[in-house]
Amino acid sequence: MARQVKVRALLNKGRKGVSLDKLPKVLTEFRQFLHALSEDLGVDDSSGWQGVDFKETASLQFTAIANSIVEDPAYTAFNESAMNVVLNRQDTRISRKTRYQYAQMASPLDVDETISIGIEQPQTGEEGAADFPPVVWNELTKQGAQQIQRSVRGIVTARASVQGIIHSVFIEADQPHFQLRELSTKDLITCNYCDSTYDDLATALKQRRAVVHVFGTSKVDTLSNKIDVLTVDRIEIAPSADKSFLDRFIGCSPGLVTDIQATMDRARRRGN
Amino acid sequence: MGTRLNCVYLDACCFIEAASFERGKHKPGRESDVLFTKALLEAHFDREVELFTSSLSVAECQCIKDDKSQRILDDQVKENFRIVLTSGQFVSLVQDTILVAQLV
Repeated sequence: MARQVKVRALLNKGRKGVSLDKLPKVLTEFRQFLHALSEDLGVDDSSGWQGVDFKETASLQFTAIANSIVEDPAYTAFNESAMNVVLNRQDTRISRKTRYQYAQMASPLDVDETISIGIEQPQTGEEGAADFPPVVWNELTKQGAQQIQRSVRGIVTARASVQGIIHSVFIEADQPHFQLRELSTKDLITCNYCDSTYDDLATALKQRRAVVHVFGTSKVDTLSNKIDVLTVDRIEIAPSADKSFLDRFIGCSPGLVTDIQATMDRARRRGN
Repeated sequence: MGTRLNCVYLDACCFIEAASFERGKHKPGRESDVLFTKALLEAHFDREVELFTSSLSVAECQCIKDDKSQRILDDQVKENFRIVLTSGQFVSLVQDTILVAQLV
């Protein structure tokens, strides 16, 4: 049977009203959570979600229902994994990013406010039970959310070199740094420098829009897949050339690779 | 920033073959491949497309050896590779970071 997956939400259970300043922020995070969850579980939610069944008995309770339709196995898998997220249980199908986003829903709230998420319990196969499935609720507080985020966020220290263009410099900041626009990702990377690398930086800035290679130690956020900060050891200006350089490059070393097939055959013979 | 251009990844062998190109001596099919590589490098220079290669390609192109394991590049050819691969004008480097290594 084809069905629509759904997730229930309840804001500030037992209290009156929800701040209109916070509501759009919470809903934005909730929507991102639904997308992350769907992505993990292979549910196509590109056609969006609808808010339905708004209740008057609570400050704000409603059901988010996906516009797309899934078959029974995917529906059950979605509910099982969603339940594992809200109950903070292990589930290899769920990414750390999704768990982080689940906790992120509480970030706009005050410490005494909550958001509860309700998931339909996976069915045990009883006839007719599917029409009135019991819902398991879990309440997320700001403190609980912070614990989840701390547990899934990973920072790795690694040596790195980044190729980019210096975007802006903050000489008089407590920690002097510059922002580097990385060429391959277009991300802005914060690069902390010290007195010993100041001259390198000044030299690089003399040449407008110079491409530079920045070497140092990076703190990498494995959740966002981005370099958080790079502590600079060295800055080198990349070489430059005009377009006609390619005419010199193409064919600059003829005979460099003679006969690929013959070379591979020789290598294989050596291997034997 | 505008919309992202079309992206193409080139492996080290594309650059090595371009450097080793010799008109009339390449296999006919391969000859056009080299010219396509050149057209792509020019298109990156003109910001019509985004080319990427791994920072490991720099090592691969600088350390080409013959079948007797002897390095065979002279300094001028090495410099040519360095300009093409690291200037950012013809291709952008994808750094071999922990993110790439983990494939997360």
